[in-house]
Amino acid sequence: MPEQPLEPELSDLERSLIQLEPVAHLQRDRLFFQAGRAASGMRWLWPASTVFSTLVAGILGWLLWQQVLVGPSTETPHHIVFVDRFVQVPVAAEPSPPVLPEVPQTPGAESDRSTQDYLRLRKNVVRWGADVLHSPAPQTTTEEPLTPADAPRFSPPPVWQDIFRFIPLPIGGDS
Amino acid sequence: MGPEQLGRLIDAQAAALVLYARQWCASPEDVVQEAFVKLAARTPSPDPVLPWLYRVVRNGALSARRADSRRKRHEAVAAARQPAWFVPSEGTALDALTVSAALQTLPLEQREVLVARLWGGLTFEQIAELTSTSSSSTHRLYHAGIAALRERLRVSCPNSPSNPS
Repeated sequence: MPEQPLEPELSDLERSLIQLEPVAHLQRDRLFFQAGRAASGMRWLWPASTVFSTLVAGILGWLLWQQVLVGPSTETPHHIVFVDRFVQVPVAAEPSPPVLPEVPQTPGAESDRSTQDYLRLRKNVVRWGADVLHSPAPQTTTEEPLTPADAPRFSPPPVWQDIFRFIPLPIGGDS
Repeated sequence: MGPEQLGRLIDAQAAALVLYARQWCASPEDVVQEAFVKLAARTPSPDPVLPWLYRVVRNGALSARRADSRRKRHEAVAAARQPAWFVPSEGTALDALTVSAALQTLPLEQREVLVARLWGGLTFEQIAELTSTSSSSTHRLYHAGIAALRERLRVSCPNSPSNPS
């Protein structure tokens, strides 16, 4: 619809009215600040984080309140177990120890063993006397403690052995 | 919408929008500010932007008027402290306070069309869309409003029958 022109006197009034400037008490800086904040895309971030933190704090507070209500228990609960029958529980076989390769016997190892045997024998002789040479070796392990009964008995040598030692006898018999 | 474009729009239209919102509510600056904030947050910007701004301001002013009506006593105090609608100026032929007083005596429908047309610069089609009326009704309201203002302001008009001279 085409706009109809106003009458001349109304047009003059219209032009005079347009010259009036409306009053506006807008705070331009505040308006720009709010417009910039509204234009940013992450305006939901802080309200969402606030709501989330409040929920977490509420849940933790409720849990703490529940713990205070229950209180720490000092009595140990007793459990009575009735055994009706014994059940054979198969025990898994222990794994066999790893097989070590046999170390070939060397002359050096043989000499070490004989040296150790000699040292052990000497130690026993020093400790128990020469009779140890003809009696079984005393127990030296620490698995079972030694008792006086385990000590070797000193039996005196038979007298006839000394007598025969000083009587010269012919070698070779009656002839 | 960029800050420079928003700044230009504020400089050019904020005062007229405040005057437009003042027809309904006592806090038009808040309504206009909220409208500009909505415009800044809107992506993409409405096209054309001016009728969109006037529609948002109109809706906001109507909501503010409903909120004001629930506070009768506060409204009475605010009405007693009604600020001037126009900036007093020596260069204009009309007195700002007189025009404000005359404009307030007009019916709301005429005031709305006058403000949107004179200070907002909207076309009659845009005003008709804004007020949900026909363009001819808007044009008629505008003519009636200008004539009523002339009567209130007693502007000299030799051809007018109401003028004795």
